[in-house]
Amino acid sequence: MARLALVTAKEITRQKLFYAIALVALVLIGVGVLFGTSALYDPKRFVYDAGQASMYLFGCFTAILFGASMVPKELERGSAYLLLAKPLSRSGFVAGKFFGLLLVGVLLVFGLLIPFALVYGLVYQGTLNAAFFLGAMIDVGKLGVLGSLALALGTFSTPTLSVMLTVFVWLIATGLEAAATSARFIEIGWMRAVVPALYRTLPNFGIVAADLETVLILGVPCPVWLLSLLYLSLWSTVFVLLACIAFERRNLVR
Amino acid sequence: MRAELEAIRVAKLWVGFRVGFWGKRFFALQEVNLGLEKGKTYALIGPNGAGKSTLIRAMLGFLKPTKGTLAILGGSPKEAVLSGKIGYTPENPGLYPHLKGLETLMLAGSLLKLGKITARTQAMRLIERLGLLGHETREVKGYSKGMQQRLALGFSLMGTPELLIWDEPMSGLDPVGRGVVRNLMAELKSEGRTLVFSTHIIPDIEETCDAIVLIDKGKKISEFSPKAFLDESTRGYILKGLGQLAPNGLGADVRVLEAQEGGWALEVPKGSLGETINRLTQTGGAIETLEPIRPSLEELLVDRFLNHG
Repeated sequence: MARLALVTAKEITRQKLFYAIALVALVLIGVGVLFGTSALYDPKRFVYDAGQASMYLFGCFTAILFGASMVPKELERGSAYLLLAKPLSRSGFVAGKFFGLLLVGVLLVFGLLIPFALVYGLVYQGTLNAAFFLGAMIDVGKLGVLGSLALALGTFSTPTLSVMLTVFVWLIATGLEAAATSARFIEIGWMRAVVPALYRTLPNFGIVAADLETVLILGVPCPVWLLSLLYLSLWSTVFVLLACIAFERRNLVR
Repeated sequence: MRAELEAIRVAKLWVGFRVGFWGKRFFALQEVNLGLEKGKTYALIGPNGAGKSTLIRAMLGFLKPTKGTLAILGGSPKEAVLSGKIGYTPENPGLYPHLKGLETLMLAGSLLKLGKITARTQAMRLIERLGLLGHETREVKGYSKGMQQRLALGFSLMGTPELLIWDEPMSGLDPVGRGVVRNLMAELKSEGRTLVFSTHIIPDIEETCDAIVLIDKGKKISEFSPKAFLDESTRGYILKGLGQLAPNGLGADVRVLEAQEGGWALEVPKGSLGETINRLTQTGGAIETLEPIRPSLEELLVDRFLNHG
């Protein structure tokens, strides 16, 4: 499985799309620096907003785009058949793919963290500490959730549909905390009931109060950080398990 | 056939899918029965869409039977695959384009949990056997289709599996590549391994196969030995030889095609071959060649497909 994860990571990192995403993310960090230099006050704010956004957004894009097409592409090309005819279970195949995707996410997020931290720390004299690392880990956790969901949907549907559904869940996951807080103000009765139900059944990125920004600014305590990471890992596990079940049950037809 | 001698046992197998917008059920295989012996080479022959690939995928557990049973090496397809006793090559090689030739085979080695040294040794031996030596450090995307096909065959051979299932192994191969694969098949046969493959290239199976399984419209039409099939279809023989021919000593049904000084050619009906050879030997004629008069295997198979209804 480890070998398959490495092959998957290598395969993703050999695609032009991956470098296009990384380049746009770097440009976004550069834009933050550019705006920071012309800011009237708190230029550091621009830098870490841009840095955080580029790591989080493009990390998630990578996870969704590659996660959704991973299994359909392997079936289309035929490599899945080649591998699954060897002593590799379908669940092992899915898990290998997920860990490969996660590895790419780690590479991208930490690859972007380096220029971001350098600009933030060296150019803007911001404080460089472990919080950078901890915050980035939470971003990796989030992209793990989205990547595993896209992967799970990709085991039984088309890449386009998987991307659309995952983005939909991503939007809900991001806005769910705010929606749940204000649910009592919703006038439509059924929606007032649906929002708390979604709050309890879908991943909620709002309760993960340990992203890079909050870690950096507020200095989120370690237990909160650990719980957040655990929460995201649990959701990833759930989606990977669903992917395994769906892939084990289906007929492999090209 | 005794169970321990059986590589594959397919009994009343039906495989169906839901197709189209309304999910109409379509049966790609219908009531297929098959018993394939260990250590033999079998070719699955049939027109496009006949169900050959479906049967192969069912044998590997990629498709679940709708009805019927399937036993591979005495167990379920899943058990057989997970035991590492099967080697499979799909119709399209499906290799990872960015991996090098050697890395590709090493990936198979790691899935089979072979040690790194064992995997490398096996991989290099296969690379040599498949005529890919010198290309092992090149990325697969730079390989020709034929080379990719041969590497995919190498992938299936890693771990020395006892049953090999190949889907169209000859497709995309040039004559040299086909020769390599034909030799490989002969070697595998001499090693006592079971080989099941689908193909459209009939001349290649004449020498290598113990049996041909004809499939059409999801059903098995027949199963037979190509040698026996060809023998059955032989009408007579063309005998060519040297020396003086004594036409009076030959049977009435033997036709002289050519009789020159020092060489001759005869058309001998199937039933008179033994007698004719005896007579020729007695009169001092030296037989140089003996060619059967019969349609090619391809013509015979086409005829059988057209006539089965």
